[in-house]
Parts: sequence; C-alpha cells; structure tokens
Amino acid sequence: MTPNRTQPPVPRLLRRAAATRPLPARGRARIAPARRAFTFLEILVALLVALALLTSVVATFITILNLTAKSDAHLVAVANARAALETISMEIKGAALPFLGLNNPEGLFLGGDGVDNDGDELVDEEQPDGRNDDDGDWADQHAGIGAWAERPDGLGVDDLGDFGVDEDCVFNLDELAFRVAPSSGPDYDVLYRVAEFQGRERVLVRLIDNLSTSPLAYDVLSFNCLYWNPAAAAPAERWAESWSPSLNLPACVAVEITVHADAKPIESYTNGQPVRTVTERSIINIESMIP
Amino acid sequence: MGCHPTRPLSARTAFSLPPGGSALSLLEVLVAMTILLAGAVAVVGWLPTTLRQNERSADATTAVYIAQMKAEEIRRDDSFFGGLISAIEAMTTGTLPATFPLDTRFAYSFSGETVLYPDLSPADPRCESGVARVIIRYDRSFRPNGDLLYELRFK
Repeated sequence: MTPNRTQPPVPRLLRRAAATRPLPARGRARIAPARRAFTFLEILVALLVALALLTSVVATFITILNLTAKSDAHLVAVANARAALETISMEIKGAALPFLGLNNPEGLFLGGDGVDNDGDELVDEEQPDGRNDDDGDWADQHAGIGAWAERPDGLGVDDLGDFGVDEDCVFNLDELAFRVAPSSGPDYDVLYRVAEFQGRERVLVRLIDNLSTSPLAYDVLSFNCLYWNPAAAAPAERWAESWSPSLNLPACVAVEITVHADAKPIESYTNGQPVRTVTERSIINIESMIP
Repeated sequence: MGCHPTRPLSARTAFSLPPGGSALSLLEVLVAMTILLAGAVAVVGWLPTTLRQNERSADATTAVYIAQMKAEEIRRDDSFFGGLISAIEAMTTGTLPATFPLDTRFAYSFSGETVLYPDLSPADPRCESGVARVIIRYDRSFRPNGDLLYELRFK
C-alpha cells in the first residue's frame, strides 16, 4: 500500500476525535480492530517460547547425533574386529609347523585404554599374560559341571578366565606367524601383525608367503596372542606369551584384538586419556593337537 | 506500533492480512508448537530404541565369541581329562550362570538341554536333548533380567 502523499496532515485534535468515530474509507487502517495482529509483547512471548522449545529440541537432537555417531563407531569397530578374528581363527585351525609367536609389549600406543577397568585405582597395570600379576585380586572361576569343573587343571591356579586375570591390561602389538596346511590346495606361510598399510597407521595386516599384504582390521590398538602349552611343567605355566618355532604346535591360541571405537580420531588423544575401545577375543584350538 | 488507526500505513509497516482474514492468536501458535513438540518427542523417544538395538546387536556378536571360547576350552580340556563333554550332555538343568571375568556384562553356563528354545518342536535340532551347549546371557549385575543372548551347541 503506498501512502497518499497529497493528503494534508491531520491535526492532532482531529486524530483524537477520529478514534471515537468511523474513519472514512481512505483514512482507515487496513487492520480492523476485530482482526488485530500481534502486539510487540505477544511476538516477544511467542519468540521466547519458541526459542525455549527449539533450544531443548536442538540440544536433544545434538545429543542423539552424538550417541548415534558413538553407536555407529562401536558397531563398525565390532564388525572390524570380528572379521579379523574370523580369518585368524580359520587359519589357526589349520596351522602347521613352523609356528612362531612374537610378544611385543614395547610397541604400545597410549599404553592402554586409560580406563581403570577393574576399579582398583590403577590404570592399565597388567600384562596380558594369562596370569594375575598385579594386585592380588585373583579368584578362581569355574562353572561346576556335575562332578567336574570346567578347566579341571586350572583349579587353584590363576588362569585365563579367572577373576582378576588380564582385566586391565596394557596394549600389546604381537606378531603371529605360521604355516597353513589347508585341506585342499598348497601350504602357505601367513604372518599377522599391526603395521602401516597404504599410508594408514595401526592396520592389522595379513602377509601371505612374504609377498602379498592385505588389511584385516583398521584402527587396531592392541593385538595380543597367548599360546597354550599342554606340556608345561605346571598348570600355571601353560599360557605362554610367545612361542618358539623350535617347539611343537601349541594346543590352542588365545587371540585378542582391541579396536578404537569412537568417532573422535585416534590421533587426537593424548597419552593417558581414556580411549573408547572394543575388544573381541577368542580361543582357537589347533585341531591336530587335540586328541 | 505502525497500525495507528488514523492514518494510512505504508507498505513497510502494514501487516499483510488478507481482507476478511485474521491473524493467529498466541493461543493458536502455542497449540501448534505443542503439537510440533509432541511429534519431536515421539521421534526422540524412538531413537533410543534404535540405539539399544544397535547395542544388543554388538553384544550378540560378543556373546558368540564368548560361547565359542568356552566351547573350545571344554573341547581342549576334554581331550586331556575326558568326561567333560559327556557330563555336560547329561545335564538336564544347566549350571549356574557364571560371570565372564573378561567382560562382566555377560554370564555363561553349560547345559545338555536347550534354554533358548524351550518351545520349539522336539523335531527341531535346536532343542535336541543330550547335546552339549554353552548358554550366554547378560549378567544379572548388568541386566537384572539376565536376558538370554546366545546358545551354542558343540561336540
């Protein structure tokens, strides 16, 4: 609506009087009193209410986005570790000599996950060795199976699977190498280790016959193996951290893979800062050593 | 404000209400916002369910590995001591759930009868009697219901 510039100004006295009687068609405002718009106060109140609602909705939405990102990172990490563990398990089942297990507690990244997993006010204080070697909180853990107990020779000695054993460990970057004798096809040598792969750090790789390398899992913070020696002199010594090629095959191998599980890049962590991780572990028997 | 009744409003200050139309009252706006908020709350309430399902999916994977680990231990020790697997096969009621020490959210037990599929037809191999099983569930300290997660049959 364009203002009527030719109309003379209305004196103040007349304007007051106009408020009490109907206005001529040209001078009347387009908004009739019965259909009035918002007042300034109403708009302010509505904006404040809307702002409060939107703030809470946006805050909730951001929280959900963060939770979803963490959940996704967790699922990816689980899938990552699981796929690697599947491959390693299948090949260990067909393992043949020579068999080599290198223990490497030195190649640590951040030390451990920076979390007091066992609530003893110490962080990452254990070596992953199948023994309770830190705080004396060990307790035997065996399900009773009729007249038997699971792991019969583990009774009374600390053993992988007992309380207090390897519950708050530092990260290890072990290496595992052996020959694979598949039921069909030729034998081949396989080596698993955490290394750089195509410019990316902390990749668990699988090296075949020292020639071809393929990635098994990304963002691997720890790769730890233990070897079960049925010929060990004492039950407490059955789990070994390394395995010499001069020995026969171990009866079974415990494999543990810890993968970073957060949307936050691993490079952004500082030493000692808690890291969100996923650990998948399994025990794999070497069938040829099981009577 | 720019709606003084005694002089015409300029294009910049006028409210563009259609002739015969009316503006929304504050009450109407509030009602609309409440409906919007109710919708948003419904969506927000649905998302945690999805997150829980994701978590359960990841836990189911872990449960599979724990079951395989326990079965491998039993197989390994049975090869040296004998009698372990047949003792499990003979069990009509499972062992008491034992907390899995390396991940205390889970508990395991052994049984010769199914615990996860008690209602299936007897012809279904999943409920076959006299087969050694590892049963994985949530530990009661983590989930008081002790929900079952996975049952692995092994020999």
